[in-house]
Amino acid sequence: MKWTKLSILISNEAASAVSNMLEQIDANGIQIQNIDHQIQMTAYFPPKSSVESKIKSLKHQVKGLNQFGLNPGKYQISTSIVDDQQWGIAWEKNYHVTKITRFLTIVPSWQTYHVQMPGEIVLKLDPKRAFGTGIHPTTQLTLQLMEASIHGEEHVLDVGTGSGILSIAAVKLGAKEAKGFDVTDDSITSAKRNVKLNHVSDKVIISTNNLLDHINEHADLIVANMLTKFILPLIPQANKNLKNDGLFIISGIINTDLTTILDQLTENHFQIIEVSSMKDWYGIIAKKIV
Amino acid sequence: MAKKVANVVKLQIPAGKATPAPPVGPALGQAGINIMGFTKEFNARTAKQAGMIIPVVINVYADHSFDFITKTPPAAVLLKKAAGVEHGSGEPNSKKVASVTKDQVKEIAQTKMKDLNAADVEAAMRMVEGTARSMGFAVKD
Repeated sequence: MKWTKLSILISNEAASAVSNMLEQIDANGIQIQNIDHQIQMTAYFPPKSSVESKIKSLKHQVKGLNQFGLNPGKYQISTSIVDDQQWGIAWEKNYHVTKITRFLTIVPSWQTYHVQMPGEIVLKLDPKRAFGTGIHPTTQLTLQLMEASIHGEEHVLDVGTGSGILSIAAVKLGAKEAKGFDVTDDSITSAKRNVKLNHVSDKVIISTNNLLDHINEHADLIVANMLTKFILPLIPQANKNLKNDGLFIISGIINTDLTTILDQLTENHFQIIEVSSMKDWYGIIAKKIV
Repeated sequence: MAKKVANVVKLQIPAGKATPAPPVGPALGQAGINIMGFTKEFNARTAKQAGMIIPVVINVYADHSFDFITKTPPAAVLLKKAAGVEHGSGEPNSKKVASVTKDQVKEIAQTKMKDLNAADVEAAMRMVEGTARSMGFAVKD
């Protein structure tokens, strides 16, 4: 997709007013840089968003700033066209082999790696634009909790699978099968690619589904690494889809939300088995009780 | 030992709703940090302020890790809140849509003084007052 990039270099005193003008013409956020005592604000507009009339209106408004007691100084407005293919994967050059737990090692698909100790499990990943690179504390926490909970032959559900990392890890740790669900096309494509990369297509099924809506399973383990607003509605659904004594591993919980999640789990007949933390993030193992 | 900051990225984006789309994608992609990691963390921390535009300052370290701090909403957002309106005027010269008092301007100027790079409260007040007028707000004593 081609975006129109609009940059405006303006005096410090007019910056606040101009940032509001950009918001008024539907810039969905701006980047701000300080350049030689002036402020540069950059906004992006998608195709077909009548950019030209927006820029015209912005120029007109900036010109009129003096009458409100704001001197815009010697300002510059410039536009260019940028393609969105590049920035989504620019971080890949900083993605390296990462040892997550005693047994699990994440290896970017384009790097070669030789197993260094007996029992080491390698997860090959090419996440592209999906969540779940293995680097973020929330993913590391989930993998650690899974390693402690999977003993073999489990039926696993992975809600919000992203890159598919948790489903793939589950079967590599010994689970019988894993079903990964997600709602975004980027995630489904990424997860399917990673399932193939790890040669686990016979054990992992990836499909589009919102949380566990309309799913009726009898799982031994459900894993979910998502934000609190998605975890809360998932808790009753997880209870319904677990066997008695089945485990629910939750991650992605920021410190301020921990109590809310714990309360909701208890209310929905879960017993808290373990709470772990890494930086400001929490992971929980809960067991379904009858 | 404190980690070395290699780059500082400043954005003003909707709380709880960051996506890899611009301006987040190009700004962070260029800085070499994992965009999805940032959006997840930002959305978790700002979920309770959803609906607000939030300034965020992201420190990118030499090892491409990052952390960030969020700030109080921009002056224009605080002005709209103070005036009790959702939008400014499209024609601020001729059509006034709301009003704020000098005291409200002063309070916002004090809150935002550091972010406005203002030399003193008076300078900050002038910027906030000008911003208010540019939005079609009358400023009353």
